[in-house]
Amino acid sequence: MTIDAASVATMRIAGVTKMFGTVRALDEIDLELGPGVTGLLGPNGSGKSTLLKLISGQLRPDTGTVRVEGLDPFAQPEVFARLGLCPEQDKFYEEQTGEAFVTALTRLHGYGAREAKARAQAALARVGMTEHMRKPIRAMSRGMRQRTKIAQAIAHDPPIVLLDEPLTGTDPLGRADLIALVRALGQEGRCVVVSSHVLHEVEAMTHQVVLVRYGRLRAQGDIGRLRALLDDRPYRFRIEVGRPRALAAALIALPHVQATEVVGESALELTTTDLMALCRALPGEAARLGLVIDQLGSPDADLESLYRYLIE
Amino acid sequence: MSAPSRGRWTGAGFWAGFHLARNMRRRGTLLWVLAIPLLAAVMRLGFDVSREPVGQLVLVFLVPLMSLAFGGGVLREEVEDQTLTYGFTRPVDRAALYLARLAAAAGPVLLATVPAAAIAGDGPTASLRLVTAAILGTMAHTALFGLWGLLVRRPTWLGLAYVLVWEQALQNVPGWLATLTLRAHVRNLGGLSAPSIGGFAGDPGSWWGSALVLVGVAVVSVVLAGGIVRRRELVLSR
Repeated sequence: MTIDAASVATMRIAGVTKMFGTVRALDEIDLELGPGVTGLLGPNGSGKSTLLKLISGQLRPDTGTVRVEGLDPFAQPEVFARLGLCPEQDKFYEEQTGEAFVTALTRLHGYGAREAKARAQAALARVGMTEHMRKPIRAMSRGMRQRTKIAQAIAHDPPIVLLDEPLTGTDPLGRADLIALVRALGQEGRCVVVSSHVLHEVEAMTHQVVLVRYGRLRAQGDIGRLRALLDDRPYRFRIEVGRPRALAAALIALPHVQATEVVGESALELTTTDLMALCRALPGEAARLGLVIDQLGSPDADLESLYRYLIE
Repeated sequence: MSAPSRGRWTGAGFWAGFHLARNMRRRGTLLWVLAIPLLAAVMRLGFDVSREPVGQLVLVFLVPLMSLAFGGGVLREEVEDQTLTYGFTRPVDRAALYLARLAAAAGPVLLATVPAAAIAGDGPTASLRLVTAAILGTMAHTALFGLWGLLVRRPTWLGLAYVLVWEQALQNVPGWLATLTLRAHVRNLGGLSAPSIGGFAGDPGSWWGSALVLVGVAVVSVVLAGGIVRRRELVLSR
Protein backbone atom coordinates (compact mmCIF):
# COMPACT_ATOMS: atom_id res chain seq x y z
CA MET A 1 0.00 0.00 0.00
CA THR A 2 1.75 3.18 -1.16
CA ILE A 3 0.22 6.58 -1.38
CA ASP A 4 0.35 8.55 -4.61
CA ALA A 5 2.80 11.44 -4.20
CA ALA A 6 0.21 13.83 -5.64
CA SER A 7 -2.09 13.15 -2.74
CA VAL A 8 0.48 13.78 -0.02
CA ALA A 9 -1.21 14.83 3.18
CA THR A 10 -0.51 18.10 4.91
CA MET A 11 -1.85 19.57 8.09
CA ARG A 12 -1.57 23.21 8.97
CA ILE A 13 -2.37 24.51 12.42
CA ALA A 14 -2.09 28.26 12.78
CA GLY A 15 -2.45 30.25 16.00
CA VAL A 16 -4.71 27.66 17.57
CA THR A 17 -5.98 28.14 21.09
CA LYS A 18 -8.46 25.79 22.70
CA MET A 19 -10.12 26.41 26.04
CA PHE A 20 -12.16 24.02 28.17
CA GLY A 21 -13.94 26.38 30.54
CA THR A 22 -11.12 28.26 32.20
CA VAL A 23 -8.48 25.67 31.29
CA ARG A 24 -6.30 26.58 28.33
CA ALA A 25 -5.72 23.17 26.75
CA LEU A 26 -3.82 24.59 23.78
CA ASP A 27 -2.21 27.98 23.56
CA GLU A 28 -1.26 29.63 20.26
CA ILE A 29 -0.09 26.48 18.52
CA ASP A 30 1.50 26.84 15.08
CA LEU A 31 2.41 23.63 13.36
CA GLU A 32 2.82 22.14 9.89
CA LEU A 33 3.02 18.41 9.34
CA GLY A 34 3.72 16.51 6.16
CA PRO A 35 4.35 12.91 5.14
CA GLY A 36 6.25 10.57 7.42
CA VAL A 37 5.94 9.82 11.10
CA THR A 38 5.80 12.68 13.59
CA GLY A 39 5.96 11.99 17.30
CA LEU A 40 3.72 14.20 19.38
CA LEU A 41 5.33 14.25 22.77
CA GLY A 42 4.34 15.59 26.11
CA PRO A 43 3.33 14.46 29.55
CA ASN A 44 -0.24 13.55 30.38
CA GLY A 45 -2.48 16.59 30.23
CA SER A 46 -0.11 18.55 28.01
CA GLY A 47 -2.62 18.95 25.18
CA LYS A 48 -1.59 16.13 22.82
CA SER A 49 -5.02 14.53 22.65
CA THR A 50 -6.72 17.89 22.27
CA LEU A 51 -4.46 18.63 19.33
CA LEU A 52 -5.31 15.29 17.72
CA LYS A 53 -9.02 15.92 18.32
CA LEU A 54 -8.71 19.25 16.53
CA ILE A 55 -6.93 17.63 13.60
CA SER A 56 -9.47 14.82 13.48
CA GLY A 57 -12.39 17.26 13.43
CA GLN A 58 -13.85 16.36 16.80
CA LEU A 59 -13.21 19.78 18.29
CA ARG A 60 -13.12 23.32 16.93
CA PRO A 61 -10.40 25.79 17.88
CA ASP A 62 -11.45 28.87 19.86
CA THR A 63 -8.99 30.95 17.86
CA GLY A 64 -6.78 30.14 14.89
CA THR A 65 -7.30 27.66 12.10
CA VAL A 66 -6.79 23.97 11.53
CA ARG A 67 -6.52 22.74 7.95
CA VAL A 68 -6.15 19.18 6.80
CA GLU A 69 -5.37 19.05 3.10
CA GLY A 70 -6.67 22.59 2.90
CA LEU A 71 -10.02 21.82 4.56
CA ASP A 72 -11.40 22.67 7.96
CA PRO A 73 -11.68 19.16 9.42
CA PHE A 74 -14.49 19.86 11.89
CA ALA A 75 -17.31 17.38 11.13
CA GLN A 76 -15.96 17.23 7.58
CA PRO A 77 -16.68 13.96 5.75
CA GLU A 78 -14.19 14.82 2.96
CA VAL A 79 -11.40 14.87 5.54
CA PHE A 80 -12.63 11.78 7.36
CA ALA A 81 -12.51 9.81 4.11
CA ARG A 82 -8.74 10.30 4.09
CA LEU A 83 -8.07 10.05 7.79
CA GLY A 84 -7.71 7.14 10.18
CA LEU A 85 -7.89 7.76 13.92
CA CYS A 86 -6.89 5.45 16.73
CA PRO A 87 -8.43 7.21 19.72
CA GLU A 88 -6.87 7.21 23.15
CA GLN A 89 -9.78 5.66 25.04
CA ASP A 90 -9.93 1.88 25.42
CA LYS A 91 -13.60 1.77 24.38
CA PHE A 92 -15.35 -0.48 21.87
CA TYR A 93 -18.66 -2.08 21.02
CA GLU A 94 -17.61 -4.80 23.41
CA GLU A 95 -19.93 -7.58 22.22
CA GLN A 96 -18.56 -7.41 18.67
CA THR A 97 -15.68 -9.55 17.45
CA GLY A 98 -12.59 -7.69 16.29
CA GLU A 99 -13.41 -8.58 12.71
CA ALA A 100 -17.04 -7.43 12.95
CA PHE A 101 -16.00 -4.20 14.66
CA VAL A 102 -13.41 -3.24 12.05
CA THR A 103 -15.69 -4.37 9.20
CA ALA A 104 -18.57 -2.25 10.50
CA LEU A 105 -16.45 0.87 10.75
CA THR A 106 -14.91 0.25 7.33
CA ARG A 107 -18.40 0.00 5.82
CA LEU A 108 -18.97 3.60 6.89
CA HIS A 109 -16.34 4.52 4.29
CA GLY A 110 -18.72 3.38 1.59
CA TYR A 111 -17.39 -0.12 1.00
CA GLY A 112 -19.74 -3.01 0.39
CA ALA A 113 -19.96 -5.86 2.89
CA ARG A 114 -17.47 -8.15 1.14
CA GLU A 115 -14.95 -5.41 0.41
CA ALA A 116 -15.15 -4.02 3.95
CA LYS A 117 -14.63 -7.49 5.40
CA ALA A 118 -11.61 -8.12 3.17
CA ARG A 119 -10.12 -4.79 4.19
CA ALA A 120 -10.82 -5.46 7.86
CA GLN A 121 -9.13 -8.84 7.65
CA ALA A 122 -6.12 -7.33 5.87
CA ALA A 123 -5.80 -4.58 8.47
CA LEU A 124 -6.16 -7.05 11.34
CA ALA A 125 -3.51 -9.23 9.74
CA ARG A 126 -1.24 -6.22 9.48
CA VAL A 127 -1.48 -5.62 13.23
CA GLY A 128 -0.99 -9.32 13.96
CA MET A 129 -4.57 -10.09 14.95
CA THR A 130 -5.55 -12.73 12.40
CA GLU A 131 -5.56 -15.48 14.98
CA HIS A 132 -7.72 -13.56 17.46
CA MET A 133 -9.97 -11.50 15.20
CA ARG A 134 -13.05 -13.68 15.81
CA LYS A 135 -12.87 -13.26 19.58
CA PRO A 136 -15.40 -10.92 21.18
CA ILE A 137 -13.60 -7.69 22.02
CA ARG A 138 -14.65 -8.00 25.67
CA ALA A 139 -12.57 -11.21 25.87
CA MET A 140 -9.43 -9.62 24.39
CA SER A 141 -6.33 -8.58 26.27
CA ARG A 142 -5.43 -4.91 26.39
CA GLY A 143 -2.78 -5.43 23.75
CA MET A 144 -5.24 -7.13 21.39
CA ARG A 145 -7.74 -4.36 21.90
CA GLN A 146 -5.08 -1.81 21.10
CA ARG A 147 -4.19 -3.64 17.89
CA THR A 148 -7.85 -3.86 16.92
CA LYS A 149 -8.18 -0.14 17.46
CA ILE A 150 -5.21 0.49 15.17
CA ALA A 151 -6.68 -1.87 12.56
CA GLN A 152 -9.90 0.15 12.36
CA ALA A 153 -7.77 3.25 11.76
CA ILE A 154 -5.91 1.80 8.77
CA ALA A 155 -8.44 -0.57 7.19
CA HIS A 156 -9.62 2.04 4.67
CA ASP A 157 -6.02 2.79 3.65
CA PRO A 158 -5.98 6.47 4.70
CA PRO A 159 -3.16 8.83 3.77
CA ILE A 160 -3.43 10.45 7.21
CA VAL A 161 -3.16 8.30 10.32
CA LEU A 162 -3.52 9.71 13.83
CA LEU A 163 -2.55 7.39 16.65
CA ASP A 164 -3.22 8.55 20.19
CA GLU A 165 -1.02 6.60 22.62
CA PRO A 166 -1.10 3.50 20.37
CA LEU A 167 1.31 1.40 22.41
CA THR A 168 -0.56 1.61 25.70
CA GLY A 169 -1.06 -1.80 27.23
CA THR A 170 0.99 -3.72 24.68
CA ASP A 171 3.59 -6.27 25.70
CA PRO A 172 7.24 -5.79 24.63
CA LEU A 173 6.95 -8.04 21.59
CA GLY A 174 3.70 -6.48 20.52
CA ARG A 175 5.21 -3.05 21.02
CA ALA A 176 8.10 -3.89 18.71
CA ASP A 177 5.64 -5.07 16.04
CA LEU A 178 3.54 -1.94 16.32
CA ILE A 179 6.62 0.30 16.23
CA ALA A 180 7.63 -1.45 13.00
CA LEU A 181 4.09 -0.97 11.66
CA VAL A 182 4.11 2.76 12.42
CA ARG A 183 7.47 3.14 10.72
CA ALA A 184 6.17 1.24 7.71
CA LEU A 185 3.08 3.47 7.51
CA GLY A 186 5.38 6.48 7.43
CA GLN A 187 7.63 4.92 4.81
CA GLU A 188 4.59 4.36 2.61
CA GLY A 189 4.26 8.14 2.40
CA ARG A 190 1.42 8.57 4.84
CA CYS A 191 1.26 11.46 7.25
CA VAL A 192 1.36 9.64 10.58
CA VAL A 193 1.08 11.47 13.90
CA VAL A 194 1.76 9.39 17.00
CA SER A 195 1.18 10.84 20.43
CA SER A 196 2.90 9.42 23.44
CA HIS A 197 4.40 10.32 26.75
CA VAL A 198 6.77 7.35 26.54
CA LEU A 199 9.74 8.91 24.92
CA HIS A 200 11.88 5.95 23.99
CA GLU A 201 8.94 4.44 22.13
CA VAL A 202 8.53 7.54 20.01
CA GLU A 203 12.26 7.67 19.44
CA ALA A 204 12.05 4.13 18.06
CA MET A 205 9.37 5.22 15.59
CA THR A 206 10.67 8.54 14.36
CA HIS A 207 13.17 11.32 14.72
CA GLN A 208 10.61 13.99 13.85
CA VAL A 209 9.09 15.19 17.06
CA VAL A 210 6.80 17.90 18.34
CA LEU A 211 7.00 18.65 22.04
CA VAL A 212 4.05 20.15 23.88
CA ARG A 213 3.74 21.11 27.50
CA TYR A 214 0.96 23.06 29.24
CA GLY A 215 -0.74 23.40 25.86
CA ARG A 216 2.20 25.19 24.28
CA LEU A 217 4.51 24.04 21.55
CA ARG A 218 7.95 23.77 23.10
CA ALA A 219 9.93 22.48 20.14
CA GLN A 220 9.54 20.86 16.77
CA GLY A 221 11.88 19.14 14.37
CA ASP A 222 14.48 16.45 14.09
CA ILE A 223 15.76 15.20 17.42
CA GLY A 224 19.35 15.77 16.31
CA ARG A 225 18.65 19.35 15.28
CA LEU A 226 16.83 19.99 18.51
CA ARG A 227 19.80 18.61 20.32
CA ALA A 228 22.05 21.06 18.47
CA LEU A 229 19.91 23.90 19.72
CA LEU A 230 20.80 22.81 23.20
CA ASP A 231 24.54 22.92 22.80
CA ASP A 232 24.83 25.89 25.09
CA ARG A 233 22.78 24.14 27.75
CA PRO A 234 24.55 22.24 30.56
CA TYR A 235 25.16 18.62 29.65
CA ARG A 236 25.21 15.82 32.20
CA PHE A 237 27.89 13.15 32.02
CA ARG A 238 28.36 9.99 34.05
CA ILE A 239 31.75 8.41 34.68
CA GLU A 240 32.21 5.05 36.36
CA VAL A 241 35.63 4.95 37.96
CA GLY A 242 37.40 3.40 40.98
CA ARG A 243 38.00 6.59 43.02
CA PRO A 244 35.28 8.98 41.95
CA ARG A 245 36.03 11.57 44.65
CA ALA A 246 39.57 12.10 43.39
CA LEU A 247 38.45 12.50 39.81
CA ALA A 248 35.61 14.82 40.85
CA ALA A 249 38.08 17.07 42.67
CA ALA A 250 40.27 17.25 39.56
CA LEU A 251 37.44 17.86 37.10
CA ILE A 252 35.67 20.58 39.09
CA ALA A 253 38.76 22.71 38.53
CA LEU A 254 38.09 22.75 34.78
CA PRO A 255 36.40 26.01 33.68
CA HIS A 256 33.57 24.32 31.75
CA VAL A 257 32.60 21.92 34.53
CA GLN A 258 29.81 23.46 36.56
CA ALA A 259 29.13 20.75 39.14
CA THR A 260 30.16 17.27 40.17
CA GLU A 261 28.35 14.73 42.25
CA VAL A 262 29.72 11.44 43.54
CA VAL A 263 27.22 8.63 43.08
CA GLY A 264 27.93 5.70 45.38
CA GLU A 265 31.46 4.31 45.59
CA SER A 266 32.23 3.95 41.92
CA ALA A 267 30.62 6.70 39.85
CA LEU A 268 30.34 10.41 39.50
CA GLU A 269 28.04 12.64 37.53
CA LEU A 270 29.04 16.07 36.38
CA THR A 271 27.53 18.94 34.48
CA THR A 272 29.53 20.61 31.73
CA THR A 273 28.86 23.41 29.28
CA ASP A 274 31.40 22.05 26.78
CA LEU A 275 31.15 18.35 26.16
CA MET A 276 34.00 18.25 23.64
CA ALA A 277 36.39 20.01 26.01
CA LEU A 278 35.50 17.50 28.72
CA CYS A 279 36.18 14.60 26.37
CA ARG A 280 39.59 16.06 25.53
CA ALA A 281 40.55 16.69 29.16
CA LEU A 282 39.20 13.53 30.77
CA PRO A 283 41.82 10.96 29.60
CA GLY A 284 44.69 13.16 30.79
CA GLU A 285 43.16 13.79 34.22
CA ALA A 286 42.43 10.08 34.68
CA ALA A 287 45.99 9.12 33.65
CA ARG A 288 47.49 11.74 35.97
CA LEU A 289 45.55 10.25 38.92
CA GLY A 290 46.25 6.65 37.85
CA LEU A 291 42.59 5.88 37.42
CA VAL A 292 40.95 3.45 35.01
CA ILE A 293 37.65 4.61 33.64
CA ASP A 294 35.21 1.69 33.55
CA GLN A 295 32.37 3.32 31.70
CA LEU A 296 31.35 6.65 30.23
CA GLY A 297 27.92 7.77 29.34
CA SER A 298 25.42 10.53 29.36
CA PRO A 299 21.94 10.36 30.74
CA ASP A 300 21.34 13.25 28.34
CA ALA A 301 21.95 11.18 25.23
CA ASP A 302 18.35 10.20 24.63
CA LEU A 303 15.12 11.99 23.94
CA GLU A 304 14.23 11.88 27.61
CA SER A 305 16.79 14.52 28.45
CA LEU A 306 15.87 16.68 25.50
CA TYR A 307 12.30 16.49 26.63
CA ARG A 308 13.24 17.37 30.19
CA TYR A 309 15.34 20.33 29.08
CA LEU A 310 12.60 21.72 26.96
CA ILE A 311 9.70 21.36 29.29
CA GLU A 312 11.25 22.38 32.57
CA MET B 1 -10.17 -3.91 -4.25
CA SER B 2 -12.96 -1.66 -5.49
CA ALA B 3 -13.31 2.04 -4.82
CA PRO B 4 -15.77 3.02 -2.11
CA SER B 5 -19.05 4.64 -2.95
CA ARG B 6 -18.91 8.08 -1.36
CA GLY B 7 -21.85 10.19 -0.38
CA ARG B 8 -22.54 12.03 2.84
CA TRP B 9 -25.35 9.60 3.64
CA THR B 10 -23.61 6.44 2.40
CA GLY B 11 -23.39 3.91 5.19
CA ALA B 12 -26.23 5.39 7.26
CA GLY B 13 -28.56 2.50 6.40
CA PHE B 14 -25.91 0.00 7.39
CA TRP B 15 -25.26 1.91 10.62
CA ALA B 16 -28.97 1.79 11.49
CA GLY B 17 -29.02 -1.98 10.96
CA PHE B 18 -25.80 -2.44 12.92
CA HIS B 19 -27.17 -0.58 15.95
CA LEU B 20 -30.63 -2.14 15.63
CA ALA B 21 -28.97 -5.54 15.88
CA ARG B 22 -27.00 -4.33 18.91
CA ASN B 23 -30.19 -2.99 20.52
CA MET B 24 -32.01 -6.25 19.90
CA ARG B 25 -29.23 -8.26 21.52
CA ARG B 26 -29.49 -6.23 24.71
CA ARG B 27 -30.85 -7.93 27.77
CA GLY B 28 -34.50 -7.04 28.16
CA THR B 29 -35.14 -5.80 24.61
CA LEU B 30 -36.33 -9.14 23.31
CA LEU B 31 -38.49 -9.53 26.40
CA TRP B 32 -40.28 -6.25 25.63
CA VAL B 33 -40.64 -7.17 21.98
CA LEU B 34 -42.22 -10.53 22.82
CA ALA B 35 -44.12 -9.59 25.98
CA ILE B 36 -46.08 -6.61 24.66
CA PRO B 37 -47.78 -8.35 21.70
CA LEU B 38 -48.33 -11.35 23.97
CA LEU B 39 -49.96 -9.13 26.59
CA ALA B 40 -52.21 -7.59 23.91
CA ALA B 41 -53.13 -11.07 22.66
CA VAL B 42 -53.92 -12.36 26.15
CA MET B 43 -56.08 -9.31 26.92
CA ARG B 44 -57.96 -9.41 23.62
CA LEU B 45 -58.31 -13.15 23.11
CA GLY B 46 -57.93 -14.61 26.59
CA PHE B 47 -59.95 -12.10 28.59
CA ASP B 48 -62.02 -10.63 25.78
CA VAL B 49 -60.96 -7.09 26.63
CA SER B 50 -62.25 -4.65 24.02
CA ARG B 51 -60.19 -2.71 21.47
CA GLU B 52 -60.38 0.56 23.43
CA PRO B 53 -58.45 -0.33 26.64
CA VAL B 54 -55.91 -2.48 24.82
CA GLY B 55 -55.36 0.25 22.22
CA GLN B 56 -55.05 2.89 24.96
CA LEU B 57 -52.51 0.74 26.81
CA VAL B 58 -50.38 0.26 23.72
CA LEU B 59 -50.63 3.70 22.14
CA VAL B 60 -51.00 6.01 25.10
CA PHE B 61 -48.85 4.22 27.64
CA LEU B 62 -46.35 1.88 25.97
CA VAL B 63 -45.47 3.86 22.83
CA PRO B 64 -44.31 6.98 24.74
CA LEU B 65 -42.54 5.09 27.52
CA MET B 66 -40.72 2.70 25.21
CA SER B 67 -39.82 5.59 22.90
CA LEU B 68 -38.38 7.38 25.90
CA ALA B 69 -36.45 4.33 27.05
CA PHE B 70 -34.90 3.69 23.65
CA GLY B 71 -34.84 7.15 22.08
CA GLY B 72 -33.91 9.35 25.01
CA GLY B 73 -30.32 8.15 25.15
CA VAL B 74 -29.79 7.82 21.43
CA LEU B 75 -26.34 9.45 21.40
CA ARG B 76 -25.81 9.98 25.11
CA GLU B 77 -25.13 6.30 25.57
CA GLU B 78 -22.33 6.45 23.00
CA VAL B 79 -20.98 9.61 24.61
CA GLU B 80 -20.89 7.88 27.99
CA ASP B 81 -19.42 4.70 26.49
CA GLN B 82 -16.91 6.88 24.61
CA THR B 83 -17.60 5.03 21.36
CA LEU B 84 -19.07 7.98 19.47
CA THR B 85 -15.61 8.85 18.11
CA TYR B 86 -15.66 5.78 15.87
CA GLY B 87 -18.76 6.82 13.94
CA PHE B 88 -18.23 10.56 14.03
CA THR B 89 -14.79 10.40 12.41
CA ARG B 90 -16.10 8.57 9.33
CA PRO B 91 -17.06 10.19 6.03
CA VAL B 92 -20.76 10.18 6.77
CA ASP B 93 -22.79 13.25 7.64
CA ARG B 94 -23.27 13.40 11.40
CA ALA B 95 -26.98 14.07 10.90
CA ALA B 96 -27.21 10.85 8.89
CA LEU B 97 -25.49 8.92 11.67
CA TYR B 98 -27.87 10.46 14.19
CA LEU B 99 -30.88 9.51 12.08
CA ALA B 100 -29.48 5.97 11.77
CA ARG B 101 -29.14 5.70 15.54
CA LEU B 102 -32.67 7.08 15.96
CA ALA B 103 -34.04 4.49 13.54
CA ALA B 104 -32.18 1.79 15.47
CA ALA B 105 -33.77 3.10 18.68
CA ALA B 106 -37.24 3.15 17.15
CA GLY B 107 -36.84 -0.42 15.86
CA PRO B 108 -37.54 -2.31 19.11
CA VAL B 109 -40.43 0.05 19.93
CA LEU B 110 -42.03 -0.67 16.57
CA LEU B 111 -41.37 -4.39 16.84
CA ALA B 112 -43.17 -4.43 20.18
CA THR B 113 -46.04 -2.01 19.60
CA VAL B 114 -47.00 -2.55 15.96
CA PRO B 115 -48.00 -6.23 16.41
CA ALA B 116 -49.71 -5.31 19.69
CA ALA B 117 -51.64 -2.54 17.93
CA ALA B 118 -52.63 -4.94 15.15
CA ILE B 119 -53.88 -7.46 17.71
CA ALA B 120 -55.82 -4.76 19.56
CA GLY B 121 -57.96 -3.91 16.52
CA ASP B 122 -61.35 -5.53 16.07
CA GLY B 123 -61.20 -5.63 12.31
CA PRO B 124 -58.81 -4.81 9.46
CA THR B 125 -59.71 -1.11 9.35
CA ALA B 126 -59.42 -0.64 13.10
CA SER B 127 -56.16 -2.58 13.18
CA LEU B 128 -54.77 -0.50 10.31
CA ARG B 129 -55.62 2.72 12.14
CA LEU B 130 -54.04 1.46 15.35
CA VAL B 131 -50.92 0.28 13.52
CA THR B 132 -50.59 3.62 11.72
CA ALA B 133 -50.96 5.39 15.05
CA ALA B 134 -48.31 3.14 16.62
CA ILE B 135 -45.86 3.84 13.76
CA LEU B 136 -46.35 7.59 13.64
CA GLY B 137 -46.59 7.83 17.43
CA THR B 138 -43.29 6.00 17.78
CA MET B 139 -41.66 8.21 15.16
CA ALA B 140 -42.83 11.42 16.84
CA HIS B 141 -42.02 10.35 20.40
CA THR B 142 -38.63 8.82 19.57
CA ALA B 143 -37.58 11.87 17.55
CA LEU B 144 -38.76 14.26 20.26
CA PHE B 145 -37.04 12.37 23.08
CA GLY B 146 -33.94 11.94 20.94
CA LEU B 147 -33.79 15.72 20.55
CA TRP B 148 -34.21 16.20 24.28
CA GLY B 149 -31.40 13.74 24.84
CA LEU B 150 -29.12 16.14 22.99
CA LEU B 151 -30.30 19.14 24.97
CA VAL B 152 -30.44 17.92 28.56
CA ARG B 153 -28.24 15.66 30.62
CA ARG B 154 -31.08 13.53 31.98
CA PRO B 155 -33.71 13.20 29.27
CA THR B 156 -35.43 10.34 31.10
CA TRP B 157 -36.68 12.58 33.89
CA LEU B 158 -37.80 15.27 31.48
CA GLY B 159 -39.49 12.63 29.32
CA LEU B 160 -41.26 11.05 32.26
CA ALA B 161 -42.46 14.47 33.42
CA TYR B 162 -43.67 15.15 29.88
CA VAL B 163 -45.54 11.85 29.52
CA LEU B 164 -46.88 11.45 33.02
CA VAL B 165 -47.48 15.05 34.04
CA TRP B 166 -47.76 17.36 31.04
CA GLU B 167 -49.65 15.10 28.68
CA GLN B 168 -51.68 13.56 31.48
CA ALA B 169 -52.76 16.97 32.76
CA LEU B 170 -53.43 18.54 29.38
CA GLN B 171 -55.53 15.68 28.08
CA ASN B 172 -58.09 16.46 30.77
CA VAL B 173 -58.38 20.12 29.91
CA PRO B 174 -61.49 20.78 27.82
CA GLY B 175 -61.04 22.55 24.52
CA TRP B 176 -58.10 22.95 22.17
CA LEU B 177 -55.36 22.68 24.84
CA ALA B 178 -55.59 18.90 24.73
CA THR B 179 -54.49 19.03 21.10
CA LEU B 180 -51.09 20.24 22.31
CA THR B 181 -50.33 16.70 23.40
CA LEU B 182 -48.97 13.98 21.16
CA ARG B 183 -51.25 11.54 22.88
CA ALA B 184 -54.39 13.33 21.60
CA HIS B 185 -53.18 12.92 18.03
CA VAL B 186 -52.09 9.31 18.52
CA ARG B 187 -55.55 8.53 19.95
CA ASN B 188 -57.29 10.37 17.14
CA LEU B 189 -55.26 8.57 14.52
CA GLY B 190 -55.89 5.20 16.15
CA GLY B 191 -59.63 5.84 16.44
CA LEU B 192 -59.54 5.79 20.22
CA SER B 193 -61.65 8.01 22.40
CA ALA B 194 -60.25 10.86 24.47
CA PRO B 195 -61.18 11.35 28.13
CA SER B 196 -63.78 14.03 28.68
CA ILE B 197 -64.61 16.17 31.67
CA GLY B 198 -68.22 17.23 31.89
CA GLY B 199 -68.79 15.97 28.39
CA PHE B 200 -66.18 18.33 26.90
CA ALA B 201 -63.34 16.55 25.14
CA GLY B 202 -60.66 18.23 23.09
CA ASP B 203 -61.17 17.78 19.40
CA PRO B 204 -57.88 17.13 17.60
CA GLY B 205 -59.62 17.38 14.23
CA SER B 206 -59.36 14.99 11.34
CA TRP B 207 -57.20 11.83 11.45
CA TRP B 208 -54.98 13.05 8.65
CA GLY B 209 -54.48 16.32 10.52
CA SER B 210 -53.24 14.27 13.47
CA ALA B 211 -51.01 12.25 11.15
CA LEU B 212 -49.58 15.51 9.84
CA VAL B 213 -48.92 16.76 13.38
CA LEU B 214 -47.08 13.55 14.35
CA VAL B 215 -45.01 13.52 11.16
CA GLY B 216 -44.32 17.22 11.62
CA VAL B 217 -43.10 16.73 15.20
CA ALA B 218 -40.85 13.90 14.02
CA VAL B 219 -39.42 15.85 11.08
CA VAL B 220 -38.84 19.08 13.02
CA SER B 221 -37.22 17.18 15.90
CA VAL B 222 -34.90 15.28 13.54
CA VAL B 223 -33.96 18.43 11.63
CA LEU B 224 -33.19 20.33 14.84
CA ALA B 225 -31.25 17.38 16.27
CA GLY B 226 -29.32 16.98 13.01
CA GLY B 227 -28.32 20.65 13.18
CA ILE B 228 -27.16 20.20 16.76
CA VAL B 229 -25.02 17.12 16.10
CA ARG B 230 -23.44 18.76 13.06
CA ARG B 231 -22.35 21.77 15.09
CA ARG B 232 -21.59 20.19 18.42
CA GLU B 233 -18.05 19.37 19.48
CA LEU B 234 -17.37 15.76 20.36
CA VAL B 235 -16.52 15.90 24.04
CA LEU B 236 -16.78 12.45 25.56
CA SER B 237 -17.36 11.94 29.25
CA ARG B 238 -14.53 10.45 31.28
